Amino acid sequence: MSILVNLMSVDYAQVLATGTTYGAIFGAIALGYHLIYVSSGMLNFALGEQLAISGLGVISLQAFGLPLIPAIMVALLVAGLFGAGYERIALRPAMRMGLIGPLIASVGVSIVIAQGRVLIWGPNPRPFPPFTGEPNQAVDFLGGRWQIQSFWIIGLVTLSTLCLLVFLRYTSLGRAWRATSQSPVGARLSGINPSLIAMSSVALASVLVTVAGIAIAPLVLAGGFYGLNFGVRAFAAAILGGFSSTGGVLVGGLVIGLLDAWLAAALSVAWSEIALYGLLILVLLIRPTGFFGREVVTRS
Amino acid sequence: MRRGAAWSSWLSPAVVLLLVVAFALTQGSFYRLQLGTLAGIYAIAVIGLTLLFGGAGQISLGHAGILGTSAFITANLTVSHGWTPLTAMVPAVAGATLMGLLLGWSALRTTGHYLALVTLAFGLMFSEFGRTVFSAGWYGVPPLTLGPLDLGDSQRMFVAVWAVVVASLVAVLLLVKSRFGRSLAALRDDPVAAAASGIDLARTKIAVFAIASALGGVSGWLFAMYQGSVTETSFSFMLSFNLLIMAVIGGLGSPLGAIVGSVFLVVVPEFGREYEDFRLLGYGVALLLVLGLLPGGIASVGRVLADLVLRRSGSATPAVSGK
Repeated sequence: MSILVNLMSVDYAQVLATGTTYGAIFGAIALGYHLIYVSSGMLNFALGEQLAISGLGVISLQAFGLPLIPAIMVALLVAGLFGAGYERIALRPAMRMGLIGPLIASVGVSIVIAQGRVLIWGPNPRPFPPFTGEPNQAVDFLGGRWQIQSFWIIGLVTLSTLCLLVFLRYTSLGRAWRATSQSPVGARLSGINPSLIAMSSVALASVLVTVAGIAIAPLVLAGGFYGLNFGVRAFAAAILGGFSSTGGVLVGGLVIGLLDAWLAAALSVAWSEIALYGLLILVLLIRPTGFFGREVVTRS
Repeated sequence: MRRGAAWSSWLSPAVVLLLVVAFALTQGSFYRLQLGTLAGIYAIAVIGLTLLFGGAGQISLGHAGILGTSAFITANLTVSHGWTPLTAMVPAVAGATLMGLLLGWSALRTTGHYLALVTLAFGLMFSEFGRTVFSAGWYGVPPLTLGPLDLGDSQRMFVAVWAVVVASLVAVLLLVKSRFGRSLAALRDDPVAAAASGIDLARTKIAVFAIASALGGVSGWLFAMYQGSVTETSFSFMLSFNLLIMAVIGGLGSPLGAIVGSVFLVVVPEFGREYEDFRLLGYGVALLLVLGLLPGGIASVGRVLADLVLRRSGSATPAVSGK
């Protein structure tokens, strides 16, 4: 019974503040999964680790004397090139094994990023200053304490999503992406190169998670060991939202963020992890297609 | 391949057995025997994974949870309740198999990437559970005894573990050639056609998860006695990933490759102990190299070379052609 009481007597305003902040991040990663999955059928598990190192990249670029904004720009460019690069040399070749291949390859890429990070930047995560104000400065909003950085996070994720939607709607590459996601065969017949689309979606998803990673770095340290945790939660968000729906995966991110914050407030850290994974498995078993997707997208 | 299939299926177990006996007789070094034993323990689990990935086109990213279940049961029963290691094997392997049945049941409802997430979540949940509930761990797991035979001696333990490896190899090779093995291949290549041909997909999927998990259970049981202690950190997601890497590097779908992959991943890093920091990075790079350049794994090197020599066009075909 005491567990039930704990679950109910939670500071919901605070859950809203934390949940929305992290939910935006999970949503951004989930959007990255969605971009790649819908256009190529590949699942790229490395996005979580990419997110975790993005703050470190900015710190290093600043050490070279770049101011914050140019450093972020260069970091985004590098992230995009890195994404395109590993799509070519790691994910694409593994397609020979079927769609399970890129998934296994992306696990390999995750390991390389996580271990390479330790070699380049050392094992200790580094503090990253918030974009405005003092570290951990918070304001009262909707009854809870919101970190100033939370507004930056939510704003940046919203802005990047809007940019992405504009890009997909009005540019020729975006239109090609949409054509490929609707009908790979039809797109190919119209002269679209699906392999190029796959490469650019990995690049685009890399840029997206790097924006999210830089935005969250002031709250969770740059280069902390949260890549896998975030990656799995975003994976859950993407499935909850139905991989095929752009809006769905963002809502999925928010739901997972709120659920995570609620469990963490009600239970100890360890038990909230166990409960979250347990719920995740249950939801997958009860409703494998998620709550927003039309049906499971299958590619052969 | 057709011709001589009868003797060639006995060839690889025989070669492995010969190498093992030779190694056990010539290597007095405690350290090398320990390493060889560890490689063998992993090989048993990886043989199961090979059947799962390569044989049936299913995936498990949480296999450490299966090994962990068995090791936790073994350690708990022997240390806290005074069971002998041999009797503890029954509930340990049964527990692991039960977990496998549950995962197999979830594989009925989910496929592909969804199944990957279910198994990953299972693995993460297990390691978090172990860290929370069994944070003290168990120390002093007694060595295995078979009647008068004490396997506490590292040489005997080595031989015993590798006997199990060879037995698993033979069992899986026979299984792949059986009616069940053919239905696995059908399930992997085209589930719809397989179902249309009268194969019970549900039973086949659950069965292959159960078999892979039973082998994982044997591996976890042996691990508990090999280590002498079971702690919360032994079965993290990194172990799941390592087992996956072993299966891929050796050659997905090849039970012999499972052994090659396990030995490779345990033994090769020992040649560069001063580069310990690079070990995991090396695992990741090796995985990507094999996926990119040698889809059949190390086990296919011979075939690829033979193809090159005979100038046949097109190298070895990939072992897996899942959906």
